[in-house]
Amino acid sequence: MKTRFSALILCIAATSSMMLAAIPEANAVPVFARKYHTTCFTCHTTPPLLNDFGLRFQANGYELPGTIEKYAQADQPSFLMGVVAQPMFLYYQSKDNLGATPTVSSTSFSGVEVGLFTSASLGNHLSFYMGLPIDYFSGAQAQINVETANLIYTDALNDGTGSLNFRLGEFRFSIPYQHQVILANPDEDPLLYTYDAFTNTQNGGAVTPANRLSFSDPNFGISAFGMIPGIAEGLRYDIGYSGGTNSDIDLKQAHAIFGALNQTFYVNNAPLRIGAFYYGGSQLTSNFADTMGGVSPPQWTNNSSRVGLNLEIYDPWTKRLDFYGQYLTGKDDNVDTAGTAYNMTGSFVGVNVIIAPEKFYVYGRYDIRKVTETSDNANQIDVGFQYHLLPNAFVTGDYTVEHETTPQSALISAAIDQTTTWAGIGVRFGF
Amino acid sequence: MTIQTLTIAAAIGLSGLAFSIQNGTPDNGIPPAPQPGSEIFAPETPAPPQVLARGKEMYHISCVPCHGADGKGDGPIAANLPIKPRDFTRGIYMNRSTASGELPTDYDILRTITRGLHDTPMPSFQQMRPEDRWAIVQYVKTFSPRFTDSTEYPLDVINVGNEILPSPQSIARGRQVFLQMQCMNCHGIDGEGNGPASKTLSDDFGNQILPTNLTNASDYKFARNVLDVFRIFSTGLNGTPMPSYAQSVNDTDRWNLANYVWALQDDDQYIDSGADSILTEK
Repeated sequence: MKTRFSALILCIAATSSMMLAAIPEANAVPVFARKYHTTCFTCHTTPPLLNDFGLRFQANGYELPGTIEKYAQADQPSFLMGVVAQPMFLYYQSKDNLGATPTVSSTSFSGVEVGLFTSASLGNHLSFYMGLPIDYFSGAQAQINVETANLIYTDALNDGTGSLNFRLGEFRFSIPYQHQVILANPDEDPLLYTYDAFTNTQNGGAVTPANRLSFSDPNFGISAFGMIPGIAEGLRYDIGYSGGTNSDIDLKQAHAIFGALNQTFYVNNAPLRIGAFYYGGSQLTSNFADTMGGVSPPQWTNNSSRVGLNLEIYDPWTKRLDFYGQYLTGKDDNVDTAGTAYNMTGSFVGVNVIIAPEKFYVYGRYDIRKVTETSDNANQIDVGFQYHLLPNAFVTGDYTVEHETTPQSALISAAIDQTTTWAGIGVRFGF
Repeated sequence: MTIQTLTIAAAIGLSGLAFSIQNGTPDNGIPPAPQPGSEIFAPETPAPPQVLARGKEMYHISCVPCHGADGKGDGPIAANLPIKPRDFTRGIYMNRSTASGELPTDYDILRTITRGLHDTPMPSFQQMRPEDRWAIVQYVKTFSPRFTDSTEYPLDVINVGNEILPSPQSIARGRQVFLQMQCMNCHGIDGEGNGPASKTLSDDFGNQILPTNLTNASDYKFARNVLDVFRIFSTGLNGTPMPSYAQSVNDTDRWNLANYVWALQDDDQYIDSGADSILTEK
């Protein structure tokens, strides 16, 4: 055990040394900061949390607000690909009443998770954005995935304000608080975002949606988005049509619409944002467990909807306390062959505390989620920190505990009582 | 339909749309830049109301997050930036072509918006339309009463004198001036920004600032060439401890000093000329 631990230490030290050796003296940070010869803190309060300028940059199709880029990709002098790598030590523990072994725990070294992303102007008004995470599988070759890939037509009104832009391809809709720090828990997203109505169904989650609908995952579709500056301090919107999250788009199998509005006000120059979003559609579902004697499994349509409200406010004195919260309700009208409807409600509240700008911040978030029909209750608490060690390196730490209980009922064959803990510490590099 | 097919189809379609829209830039109404050595005797022509309205609109889109709606440099992200945004209400500008203590010309403000300040949170807005950048200049000037105060005029646009081209002799003389003028107190004996006073400096707004590391091209916030360095020696950087040397060092030696400083961050081109040893001579 001691030998293995020493090997892990050696491994992370070697990895870190190699990466640090590759860091240039200047603040060569990922693609946008490099492209615009600025610092990452122009757009981020602390990566990956966007500040007001970053939100405007994003709402302008990843171009500086007020600008219409004319450069073609080949004319851009900077290296167009950014890299984020994150070696981490991880601890995982699960206690439940489901299996023969009630407690399972493990420690591991996650290696170097690498995410590539690239974005550039293709010409006047036209740009693209791609996110390319690299997945590692034990005993197999690494695989590069295309998580997001979309073309953006900026400033369609051609008035320099960037208030109307279009996006086509695979992208994430603009919901707030989506991109938390990438840390110990692979499902770090709020419980509301990871809710899967088909998981705790009468048939144990055997239902298979033909094409998944999820507002928080990258969707394939088209959207109109932007920020209208003339309304208070900026009304941000995103309206889109999606064919679901799978790449084999068939609009007869799944389709959804999305709409989000976020209004910003400033209170003593501290941002206050209030917003709402809707995501709803229908998806073809089937239950392969019902396949008997070569008969095709039954198929039916589930109509799904999610409605969210969100609020964010910075303290108006120091502007270093960022409080946020969200309430979301969801309905699925047909989660199994019996036509059962599930209604879910939940919320989360959190705070980011900037202790030293550009250097050190801590955060915490509390989530709850309830499903009315099954009395499924889940809650999660998450705390962590990020320290800016070097121009290209952040030390990160995170601790998450999730607890879920579901009593036995006519809908659920066995009661569930599960507690899961994740803890991790590592270094995140950006180039 | 696969993602590849979708993306290619979209690229073709949107590219056609993009190039079908003509981007003819109309006459943007920006007057010619003042020439070095000229004097601006009166407040530059007041901007028409429609220019100010456009400037306000673009300012609110691009500038408010840092500089604030009232131009006080206290925008919603300013508190979390280590380099504080400019307070436009004071009318004090670092990057100018005018004598120390004077207001900048409109072109000076336009230059900063266009170039940005390298390696700081102020990006280059070069790809904003020229007339929009010009409109922002006019709107930014409304924050400070200095721009309409006739006693601030005439503005004296500094004269660049007779440029001296870089040479080992010029660089050697520049090194002597660097030492004589005690530049190393802030910038360090080798120009690395680590002089004995480097940790004690603050600007007129009370924010701690660090002297430029003259050996690192990324640390030059304004200067893009030797002429820019010469200009900074001549004008000083208002609001910071960097003084003007226009009165204490003659034009020739300011050019020699500029050649020396520029060589510090680009010394490869001087190795063949034999000037490299001068750069580190104590």
